[in-house]
Amino acid sequence: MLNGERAVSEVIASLILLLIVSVLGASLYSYTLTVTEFQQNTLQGEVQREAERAQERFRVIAVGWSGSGDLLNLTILNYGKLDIQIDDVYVNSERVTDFHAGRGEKTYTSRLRQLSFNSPVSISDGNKYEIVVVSDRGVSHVHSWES
Amino acid sequence: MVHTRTRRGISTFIAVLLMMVLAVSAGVVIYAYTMGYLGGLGSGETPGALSVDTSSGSTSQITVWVRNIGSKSVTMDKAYVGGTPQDMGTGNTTTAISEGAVKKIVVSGTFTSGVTYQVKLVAKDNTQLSFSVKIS
Repeated sequence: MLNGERAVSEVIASLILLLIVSVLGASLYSYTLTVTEFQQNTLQGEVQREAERAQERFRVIAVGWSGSGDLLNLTILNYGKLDIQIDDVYVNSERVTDFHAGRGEKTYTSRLRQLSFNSPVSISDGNKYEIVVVSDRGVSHVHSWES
Repeated sequence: MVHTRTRRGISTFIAVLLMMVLAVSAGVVIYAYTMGYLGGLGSGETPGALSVDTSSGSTSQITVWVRNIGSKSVTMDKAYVGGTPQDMGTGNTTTAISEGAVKKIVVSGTFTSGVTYQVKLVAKDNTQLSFSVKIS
């Protein structure tokens, strides 16, 4: 059948083909797994972040002001399922930059946290202020306060 | 046997060559399709995550404090107010908001007092942030 030509046997040929197919298959599998794992991890991270944001619950239960000056003391209650960390406070959309205490400190669940800062907006008696408290996860609570 | 001998056909050598050509062609087509699909998945840039701390608006500008709650830096690119592109200033489109940082963004334009506008901010990596603001 081969007319005297030299060639590998059918068994060897089959083994070579099997080897080629296996290597190609393994490469494709590895590549696909890498890509899909990256996508899956990204998606899981986003879902986890949103789930944590949804579980955060806190609010301002008291605003302390001496009657003069711009020093304010906020009392925050964490009534959610996760520990929180207050990162920023805004008074009438102005960001507070002068904190005395409480910023960045962990507030455990069902616990209170005192935040002390100088308001970037002048506080005067009888005026209304909008105080926004923001956690490190980006969850914000708006509190309307009349001095 | 007699019937088989009289049948006409191509030689096994030509048949193998044809099969190889077919297999290689099919392989190239499948490879191109797969790489186009999976390659897009792998190299596609993952958007970041932004949230609004607080926002306010006047008749000449909308101010928003944007927090980066994702795991990568984000640089803003475009601002739309009520679906209309608005000026965001070059400072906002060149400075990145790093992970966990907060940035004040001012969108300039002419707005009507008492009206609530839908604002959309789009970053260069297509991270989008939508919120509404009432003009005081």
